[in-house]
Amino acid sequence: MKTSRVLFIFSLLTSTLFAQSDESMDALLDTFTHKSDLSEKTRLAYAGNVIIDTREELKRFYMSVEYLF
Amino acid sequence: MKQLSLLFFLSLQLLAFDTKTASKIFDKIFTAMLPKQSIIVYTPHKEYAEVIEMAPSLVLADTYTEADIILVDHLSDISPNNMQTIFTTNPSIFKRDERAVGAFYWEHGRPKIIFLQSRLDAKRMTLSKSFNRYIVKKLP
Repeated sequence: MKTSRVLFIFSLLTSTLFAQSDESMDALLDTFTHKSDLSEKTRLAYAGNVIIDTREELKRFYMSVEYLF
Repeated sequence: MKQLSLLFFLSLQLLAFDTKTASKIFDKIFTAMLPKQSIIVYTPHKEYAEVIEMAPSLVLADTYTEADIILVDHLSDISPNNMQTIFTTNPSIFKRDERAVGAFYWEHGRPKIIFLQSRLDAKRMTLSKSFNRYIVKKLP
């Protein structure tokens, strides 16, 4: 019983470590998008009276200003 | 006091940037570009300097002269005489500057990685097969 429990914990730990070291680029990009989305949602939820510019809008604005100079 | 703490919380939310995941992404990109144990990266941006410091295979350089890769977001950050490998987070630099071999930026609400084949060839860089779908033959 004890041996099986130890084996279970060991396999759980190794699989977690393996999963962390071998994260695919797709998974990383998904996490990056998801976390950015969450911060965006929190902003929208808490700042109802503030005009929010999207990342795309800011980037386009920056590019147009950079083009002028 | 309540208003102050709410303001503090909101300002934290506005500054939210997923540094941990960004460091893993840049680690993967730069190790794919250069097959070295530790890659020296220079960036003039504080936000990206933190990202580089967190990445296991990347070392933050104090000056661009000692760097393997320069990570930039504005054209003014790079001297026109500098011929080192550049990776950018700005699509406009990627399109205009021939020294930029690749870019990582947001497009239509999604992070995008892109490399230009001709510039990789010019730098004699070969990326691993998993990066094939990020390589384009023509500028978008």
